[in-house]
Amino acid sequence: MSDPILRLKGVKTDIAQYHILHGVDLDVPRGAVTMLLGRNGAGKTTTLRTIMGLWKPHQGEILLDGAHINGLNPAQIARRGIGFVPEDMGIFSDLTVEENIRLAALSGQPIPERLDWIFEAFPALRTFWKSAAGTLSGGQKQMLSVARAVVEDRELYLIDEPSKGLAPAIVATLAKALKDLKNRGASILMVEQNFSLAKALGDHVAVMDDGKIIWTGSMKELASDTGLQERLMGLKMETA
Amino acid sequence: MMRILSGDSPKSAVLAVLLALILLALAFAPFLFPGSRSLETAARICIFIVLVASYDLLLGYGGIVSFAHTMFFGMGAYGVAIATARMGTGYPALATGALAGMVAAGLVALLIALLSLRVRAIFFAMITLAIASAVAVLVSQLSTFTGGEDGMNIRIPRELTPAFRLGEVMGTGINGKILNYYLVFFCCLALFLLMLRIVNSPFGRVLQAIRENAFRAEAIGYRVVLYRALATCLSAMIAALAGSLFAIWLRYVGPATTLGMEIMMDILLIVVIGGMGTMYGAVVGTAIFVLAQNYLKTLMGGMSEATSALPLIPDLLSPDRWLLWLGILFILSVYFFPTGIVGRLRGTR
Amino acid sequence: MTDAAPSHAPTMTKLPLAERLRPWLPVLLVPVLIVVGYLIIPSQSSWLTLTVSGLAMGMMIFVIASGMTLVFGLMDVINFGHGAFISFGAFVGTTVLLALGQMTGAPSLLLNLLAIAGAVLAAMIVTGGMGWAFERAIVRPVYGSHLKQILVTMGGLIVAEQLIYVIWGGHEIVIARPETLKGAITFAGAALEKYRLVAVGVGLIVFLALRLVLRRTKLGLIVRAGVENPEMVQALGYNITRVFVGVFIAGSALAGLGGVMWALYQEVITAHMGNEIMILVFIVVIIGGLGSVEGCFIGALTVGLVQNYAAFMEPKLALISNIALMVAILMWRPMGMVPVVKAK
Repeated sequence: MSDPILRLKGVKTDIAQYHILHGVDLDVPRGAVTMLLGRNGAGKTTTLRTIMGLWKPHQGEILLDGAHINGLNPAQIARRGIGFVPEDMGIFSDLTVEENIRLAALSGQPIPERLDWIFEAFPALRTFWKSAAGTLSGGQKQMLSVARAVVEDRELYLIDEPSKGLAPAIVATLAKALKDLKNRGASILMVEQNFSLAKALGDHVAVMDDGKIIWTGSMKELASDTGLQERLMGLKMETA
Repeated sequence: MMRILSGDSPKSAVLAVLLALILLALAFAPFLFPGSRSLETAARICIFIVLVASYDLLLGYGGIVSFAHTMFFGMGAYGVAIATARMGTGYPALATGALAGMVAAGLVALLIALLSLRVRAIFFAMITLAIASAVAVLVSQLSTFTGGEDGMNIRIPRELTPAFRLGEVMGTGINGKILNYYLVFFCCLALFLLMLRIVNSPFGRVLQAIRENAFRAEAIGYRVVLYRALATCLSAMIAALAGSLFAIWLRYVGPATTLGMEIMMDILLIVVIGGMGTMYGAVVGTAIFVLAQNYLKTLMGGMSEATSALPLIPDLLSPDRWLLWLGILFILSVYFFPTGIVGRLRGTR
Repeated sequence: MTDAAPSHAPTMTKLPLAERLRPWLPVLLVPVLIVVGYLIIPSQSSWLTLTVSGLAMGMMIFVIASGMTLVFGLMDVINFGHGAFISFGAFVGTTVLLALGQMTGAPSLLLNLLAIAGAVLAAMIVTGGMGWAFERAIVRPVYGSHLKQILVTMGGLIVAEQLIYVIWGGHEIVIARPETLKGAITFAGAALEKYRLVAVGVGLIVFLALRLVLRRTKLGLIVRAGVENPEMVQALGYNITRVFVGVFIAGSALAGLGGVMWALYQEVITAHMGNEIMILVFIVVIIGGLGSVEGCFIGALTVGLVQNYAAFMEPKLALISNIALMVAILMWRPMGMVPVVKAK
């Protein structure tokens, strides 16, 4: 088992006067998909945002490939190799799909192979290439958000609830694309409430509650033990 | 004592002493500082304390930034002027004018507050600026009604003029001007205590809660719009009353004395330097500001003369450049003394 | 294929005509206004003169307001001190023009334009530099607090204005237009001042240049994305702080350019002139919508036209007309005509 690509040690984050993360310890294995599960309000999104540098932890360390990234600003963290797909997708509605993608390419021009992959995984993006991103449907926006994150070569992807509010067919497209990403060697840390997607994609699981990690293990382990599921998250991971 | 102050104690020994000193100085000004110039300064301090405190109500307690305050001040002043011109000299005219000014201010404030419903808070500040400027221009242009650039003279009842003599107290002759002063003093005192009452009432507390987190306040169940509108109206009406008093004291009203941007800036400066959201900040800030404005300028004049041989320095120290240093002090205040003088004295950061 | 979504090209149902027209409505505002002006102003030649004046004034206000709307839209920063950059630009430009009296006095268009170019360059460098200093020293410490920004930038405005008094003295300075730009040409019976036509041209160039940078360059892309979601731009790997500073400096430089243009328009400058224009600038920024150069352009032309038409019809109502315009537009579109910035 190789060393984890991302390691959080005792990370505590406050937002305004609220303590959200109470000391998160997490190892994200390399080349695999780790699902971050837990109740609403457990601090999953906050964890992702803290890793990305959008919120500063007032205590703790975050190491990417062994190097400290806590304290860096989001732009630096992005350039260190972390891609971010936020909960609200964060697409620029007044820019066209093309402009969204071009912006994501730090050097100005996306690598052709990368673009091919994007069009193959998300054909709709090619159709709406010149349309304003704001006119896309929810599912297409999500695809764009993921596509944007992969334009640049990244080691780790932080993905926040990609399937929220999307139709099953779109979710299937997403799942396939993300699986493909994993097969190409990327590591993924994903927050997901859709359990069928989580089960299909996830290799490892970390469960959060009340700002702390309360359980880590393999997805197989969690998926097969409904009692464990109920203890950790208060419900069973029903598949559709 | 606490009842009179509505429970809002100074919370600092130094502050309490300062406030007491200011109160005594103003209360006995005609006897302590004889001479029309000192009385003029004292009256100005009284009125500005009320004007700045009413702005603090809006900005410090309500968290609302508005640049229309001098407009309301002017409404009160012009109300008295126009009423006296139409109805003749006499107390009924003064009262009517003050009342009319106050009501007009309240209505306009309500309209502006309702406008703010539809726009972002930050637009609101700019809109008030635009409206206040437009009104100022309008007032100087509608000369038949308002006397235009030249303003209007106000004829006040004889009892309030220097011509009226009432005898002597403690070696100082009592004339109508001193009566006028006490009219101003007691009205301003009453208005200030009224404002203390307002900000320490449940209404005032809700207002502060809204200032801290409007979203949460609305979620709890307070109609934020209503409270903000009410705060704007109260602030405007009190400003108008201050304006009426100003007109009665000065016996003159004009766009420069009441509607100028300089006055708005002065209010802003005093509120920040004195301490936002404290009420007492207005008292201490105004006293220091008005005194400094008068006497510091003389000091600067002397320094400017003394350094006249050097390049640039005399221009920087010229008393006309008093605003330059005030502006720098203002900026530094916002950074390093965000709670103002009063905040500093109270030890709050 | 696979079990992915079918890759047919979906047919988009055509939106009803009214919906499709909606984004274009603001653009129609200007021509409509000009037509209205034609109808209500009795004399055709007056209408022509006023329209040109209105457009010229509008262009100048646009140049000044464009910087402000971008700064506000991108950085969520209010700079009440923007007026100081206008005044400073005017004073620096005037100083240069007076120094180049030989060139402005010559009857050669080339020399005259060169002199103006020199003045503009000097003004933009000075105000750009001021903008940099302003951002570093005054604005940066108060990012995130609108209240403090308003207070602090107003303080900065006061200080800057006082500095003008210190450097240039307290009186107004008269500045004559260069020789070849004096006077007017007659067209269709109306006297159209040459300088105003030049101002319209300059304004158009600035607008097109801004549009070009925003739409065709990487930097423009970053700015446009940043106006919408600065956080996401950072998460993509761009140091948006440097872009902020750049935009602030550019905005200040544009204000300086506007100041020079205004100086030559009025032919006299005072330390207070920046503030007088700022009222109209605020109105333009509000009705145009934050962060939108196009909205700002339309808004500025509208305000310029309204100001001139109203001043002709009833001089006392000029400023009030623009206030009424602002209220009317806010009732129609509370976020401004072409808002780019989503509610924060």
